[in-house]
Amino acid sequence: MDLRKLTSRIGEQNRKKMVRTFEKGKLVTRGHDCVYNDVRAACARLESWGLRPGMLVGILAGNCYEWIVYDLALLEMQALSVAFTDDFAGMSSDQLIDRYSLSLLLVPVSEKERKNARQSEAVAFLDGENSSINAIPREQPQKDWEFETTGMVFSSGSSGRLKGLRLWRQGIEASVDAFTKMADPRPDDCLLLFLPISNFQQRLMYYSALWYGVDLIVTDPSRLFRALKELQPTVLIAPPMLYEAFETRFYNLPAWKRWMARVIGRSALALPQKSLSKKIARSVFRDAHEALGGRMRFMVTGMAPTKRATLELFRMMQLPLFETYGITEFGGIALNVPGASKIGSVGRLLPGVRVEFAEDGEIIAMREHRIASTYFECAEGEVEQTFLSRDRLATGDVGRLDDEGYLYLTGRKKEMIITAGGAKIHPEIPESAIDACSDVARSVVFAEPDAPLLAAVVLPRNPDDESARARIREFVDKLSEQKPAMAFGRVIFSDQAFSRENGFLRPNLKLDRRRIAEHFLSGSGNGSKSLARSS
Amino acid sequence: MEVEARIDEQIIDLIASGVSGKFRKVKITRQTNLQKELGLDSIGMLALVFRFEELFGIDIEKQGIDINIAKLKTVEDLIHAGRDIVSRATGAESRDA
Repeated sequence: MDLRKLTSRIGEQNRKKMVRTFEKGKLVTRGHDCVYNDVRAACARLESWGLRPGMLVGILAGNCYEWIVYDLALLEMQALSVAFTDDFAGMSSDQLIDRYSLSLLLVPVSEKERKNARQSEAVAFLDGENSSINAIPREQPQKDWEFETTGMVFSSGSSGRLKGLRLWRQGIEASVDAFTKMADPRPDDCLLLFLPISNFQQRLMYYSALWYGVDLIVTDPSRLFRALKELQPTVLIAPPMLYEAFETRFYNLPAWKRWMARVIGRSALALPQKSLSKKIARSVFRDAHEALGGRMRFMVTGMAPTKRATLELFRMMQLPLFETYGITEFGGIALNVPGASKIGSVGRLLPGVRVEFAEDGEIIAMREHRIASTYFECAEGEVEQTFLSRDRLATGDVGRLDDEGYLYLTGRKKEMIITAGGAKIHPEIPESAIDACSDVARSVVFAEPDAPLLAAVVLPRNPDDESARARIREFVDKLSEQKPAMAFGRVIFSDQAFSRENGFLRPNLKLDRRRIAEHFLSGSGNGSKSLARSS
Repeated sequence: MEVEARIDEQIIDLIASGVSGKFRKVKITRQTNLQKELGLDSIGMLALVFRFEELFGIDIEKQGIDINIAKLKTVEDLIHAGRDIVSRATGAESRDA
């Protein structure tokens, strides 16, 4: 693919190819010809506002059709997009414009108060009438004749804080091509996206759908289940928690029903006649098939580890769920596909991707071009630790390849919490937040097993003071309310300090997190007391 | 009152069917916290709302009802929201008829 020609390509696509979005509660379907016209109109508008190639344009909005149109228009004009996630909602328009040297900031009309800004002429509505808009003329430090940098995105990376990534056009193109080649789209495919398109993986997927002529549905999470059932997509990309919701439904069936379904489901899998086998599975697991629309042929999950039980249940239901692996900085790395998949692995390497393993087992991913050329607003040394050379990137994940070329992830190099929702949080961030409580001597934070929550093991300054425990719990509850990504479930109190003698510190005096988790989270911790909640 | 009690019961059944793993042991009361005590994540909440729509035959967005999932903290919150949605949808239907 060539991102610079994406709009022309859309214009050449069969008019029957569709983009569907929900607008004010109604489904709106547009052909690619209509999308092409809308992108051209957006280009003309941007140009009339004074936007020129190389200028930066911020977009701060939820999923909507106009987000896609302006994204494509910026690519067409070779201007740079800066995709702001919800994390930026607290910043004013002026703060965003100044901090990121924006020429324009695009926002939805529902946030019209964002026009109340010193630089209001640089704030335009994505989906409403605009008047007196003027892009702030900014000199670009150097001309990017080849449009190598297409924009900036933000990711919760290894530092646990948001950091910026500069996007590399050729890396985006290589990643889209490799994933699409392996996924092998069919003419009747229809891709559903529901995660925020400010998250770059979602944009990669719609670039692929628009370039390769696949129908596209874009919704916000609140319409997800309705869109699945009513619009019958064939391809879905979602975090493990979505698929686990189906697993939960299954396990909440009465035991006899579950047992029957398992017996019939497994027997059906063993049948040599595939059409009969599928028919039986669709009948036994009708609810799940219907909830997913009934046409699903390729569901992909990644972003966080997927439970083996979930993958096995989907296999038994004959619902095609496959694990993938990639990182925003690099793009896709490996993918399981129909006919080439192993449960427990993240699949074979995508075309053009190679890996090698560092001495400590860390996966070093290699491709001629990766998605991000570098970081900005990151911790010191992070660029050097990650971007080893032009084509080599340190993933931070530890893994191995088997004899057949399937990649397995076996751990993280750094002590990182990955929640069930796929959010990456360095434990030091919530730990320092809890340690700010004057009653706390030390805290250690973990992901709560099988739950979308964090668990904290806390050593109070005075372990005998019951009222201090209540205050700490209240403090942690407030943290959960202020920062939903830091939602805590259990707070487990320890009455013994972490030391080398009790094995909670390593000989180098660093926390032995695995040992602490084994001791306290299993519920067998002596001298510990857990409070499920306050009040 | 009887109708409301039936709605409450149906909502509690819906919640119970979406609770996973170790959280199944938790006794569901009106004060039970959906996320902390029942482990319902954002997708779990969306699934719950969608099953509610299916059960009662209501398209919440089409009815113009604004529901903020982030504000639904407890079983009680969900019951109140559910009752409100059903009564507004029923009111709209009778107006349309």
